[in-house]
Amino acid sequence: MAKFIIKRIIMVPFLLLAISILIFFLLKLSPADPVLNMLPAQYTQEQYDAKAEQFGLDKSNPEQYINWLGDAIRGDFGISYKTSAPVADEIALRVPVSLQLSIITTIILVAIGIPMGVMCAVKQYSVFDNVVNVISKFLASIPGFWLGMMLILVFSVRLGWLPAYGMDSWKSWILPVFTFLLPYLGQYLRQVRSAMLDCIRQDYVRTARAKGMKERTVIFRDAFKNALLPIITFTGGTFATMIGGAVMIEQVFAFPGIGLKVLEGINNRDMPVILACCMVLALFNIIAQLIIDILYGVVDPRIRSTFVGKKKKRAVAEAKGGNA
Amino acid sequence: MKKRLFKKICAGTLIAAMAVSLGACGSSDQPSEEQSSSTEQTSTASGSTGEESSSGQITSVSDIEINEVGTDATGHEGEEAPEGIQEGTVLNYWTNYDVPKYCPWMDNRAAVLTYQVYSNLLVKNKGNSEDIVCDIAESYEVSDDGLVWTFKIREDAKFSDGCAVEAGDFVATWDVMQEYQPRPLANVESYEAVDAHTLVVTLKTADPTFIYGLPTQRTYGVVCSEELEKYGPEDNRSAVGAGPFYIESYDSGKQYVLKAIEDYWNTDLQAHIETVNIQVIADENTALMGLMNGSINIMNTVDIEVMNNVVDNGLNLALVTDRENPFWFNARQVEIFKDPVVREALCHMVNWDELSALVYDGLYPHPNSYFTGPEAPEFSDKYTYDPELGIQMLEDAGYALEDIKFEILADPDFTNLNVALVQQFNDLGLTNVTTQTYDGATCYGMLKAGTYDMFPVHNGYSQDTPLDVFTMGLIEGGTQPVMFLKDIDEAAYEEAVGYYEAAESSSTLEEYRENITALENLVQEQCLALGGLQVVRGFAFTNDVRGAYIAPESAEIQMSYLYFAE
Repeated sequence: MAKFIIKRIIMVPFLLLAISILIFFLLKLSPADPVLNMLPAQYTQEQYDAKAEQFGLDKSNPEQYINWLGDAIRGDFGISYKTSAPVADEIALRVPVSLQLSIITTIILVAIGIPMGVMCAVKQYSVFDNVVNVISKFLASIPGFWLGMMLILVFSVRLGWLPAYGMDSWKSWILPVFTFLLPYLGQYLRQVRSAMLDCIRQDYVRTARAKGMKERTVIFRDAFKNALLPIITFTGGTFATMIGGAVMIEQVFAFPGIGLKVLEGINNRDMPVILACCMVLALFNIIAQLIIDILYGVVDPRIRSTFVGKKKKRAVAEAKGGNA
Repeated sequence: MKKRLFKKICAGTLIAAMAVSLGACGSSDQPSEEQSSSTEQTSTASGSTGEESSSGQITSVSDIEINEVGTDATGHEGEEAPEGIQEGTVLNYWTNYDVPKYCPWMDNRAAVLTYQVYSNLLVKNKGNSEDIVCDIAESYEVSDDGLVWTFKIREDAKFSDGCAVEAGDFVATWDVMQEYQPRPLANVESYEAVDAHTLVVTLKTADPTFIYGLPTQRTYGVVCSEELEKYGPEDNRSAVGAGPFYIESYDSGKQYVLKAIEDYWNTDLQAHIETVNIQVIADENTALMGLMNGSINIMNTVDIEVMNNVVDNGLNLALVTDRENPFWFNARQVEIFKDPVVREALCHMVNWDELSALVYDGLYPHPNSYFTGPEAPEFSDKYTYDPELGIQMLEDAGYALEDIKFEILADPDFTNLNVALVQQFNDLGLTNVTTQTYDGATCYGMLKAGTYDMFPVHNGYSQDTPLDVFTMGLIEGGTQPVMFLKDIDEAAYEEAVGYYEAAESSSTLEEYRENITALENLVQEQCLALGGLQVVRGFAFTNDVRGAYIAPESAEIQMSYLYFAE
């Protein structure tokens, strides 16, 4: 298992490198000149040259990339073209907001989604299942920004119970979290239900029932445990998407997260900010995938066994009396 | 049985969901008592006398008249403001721009802050450029030749950190501006602190518009030279001003907290609101909802839908005219634009009133000139809407309609207008006219680089400093090239430069105006742009806000006048 984890960790820098190359050169296709964006309305050629030199924009694109990469490896993502502040500091302020939002949402998602999804699968075609099915389809098809606006309109403007924007108190988190949660919940419920249904139909579940095991034991020990693999995949993937995908929620509820920072960076043609944000988001995504892979190993012994060392494999084979 | 129950539940759920959605979307036809009273206030605020409904209520934005400069936009002109600070008052002001740098020379989009935190020698009284009064200067003199301006500085003027404002602070501030924002100093030969309270500015040529710029604009406000020296020009800690507010805190992406200075040295500008939170909210609709639930007190917008929502919800709305945005032809980029026949023909083919009605409910007027001001020349018949004449002109000049090929650049604010404009051209058979929207920064970069076919650009035109638009847009080497006269007609360009130089060296306002008018006329007669629409900005207030004086050219409120109704 350790070998498997090490292998995955070794892949991380290569993945990040590939992502950084892709993003860097895609950004260079933009028709706007970042130096012009940094200069005042009136500037001289000398000022232009000085600014270009200050930010290393007078060099060729590959040179710029190599310089950026060298600095990024040391944790220096450069200086923002717009704010002249170190990008790493700016991102450090934004990441916790997005992380908090994503973690809270994921916890609630799992807390509601798994029991309800399991219940729907167990009581397939019941009134409960059908109602949840309709609601989840409805939730999954709602655009987040529209839902956010409607929730603000109802709970903030009409009823005055919750703040419309900002993050000053715990109350401020309720609307953004639910706006973020509900569309994901619709999909999540359906995924959990589907994963459970696949398992419930399996022979081993039928066998367990035939043996006279308690229904609760059959569902949670045999069916649910086997349904966990797709559920883990979906939960991890959802969490990874949430961190960078909260831009709409951050925009609507004025949450200064990393999604909004990327958007600001794009609007300002602030390449160091865009690059750094994308790298951070990519890193979170890769970490989430890594955790999913590790959890696979934990949950499924078959996956664990594929990463058993040669010696151990041989020993097992010898014990069974076969050839290694 | 189960199926029937299920169907009932589904139907019930759907009906409930639709009812909630509709209830949330719609506004009640019968306004509540509170809304009704505030709608009446709107009527007062705007001074509207036009097409109001029979009950006298404002029913649409187009019923509201443009607010007069120098009057309280909340409609309570003449009401007495409280003396001193209203204890415990907090005003929430919306901005969608997270000001990253608030040293005045670092970011000229930061007027929402600079207007409150900085002061200058003179000030436009209640935003009115016709009424310039002393601020940090207690008096000033101009030499007979108009070249030497001597400002006497008040002895009681103080920065927010308590240090006295001295002439040397202006010298230090302007030294930094020379590097970061040299345009306001372009005609300044020298500036010198003769003593701690006397500042002498010598101009290269007599400039009757000088008074509107460097010594008056708060965006060029003075900063404390000690802090400037200590932290450098790019550090926000250098941003210590002498305005009626100071920045108490800044939370990146969230808000700025401004605190009023007690016993402010300029009693005329003593702030009344104790705390102003400038809230950074990226989404305008969220800000509107904040306004509706009272968590935002003031917001401004150019979006007609948002303005209509403000009116529908019985909130106070005032309108001010903002920029006009001529659609400039880039003859350097598009060869056919060099032909005056093409330019004039295209001018005949746009129905601006129809565009205004379609996109902006008729609120944005089609101005009668590229330029503003009472002496600006009006459009000639080259701009009369006559599409048949336009098509005829193109055909007579040997152009097939498909030969007219260009792309109109749009920032997101202009997308709808551009789409409607392109549709008009397409409907007339000019099927190769297209539009492309980029984000604001890309557009700005393309504007500076001149890499666009056509772009609606205001280009900094101001009635106070009308030469700037030519400095940037016409004169060779200008930083925002939009008037490509040199590429079109060298002789006409030389003539224009002659007017420009004559205006620059004018010693009297009359002479200056004459040359400017001639220059404006020349550019306009050459059809260097299609024409355009004038932006109208709406300022929305909660009904308890008073004392909003809006400077039209910057569309900013000087917050020191604001107060809450008791």
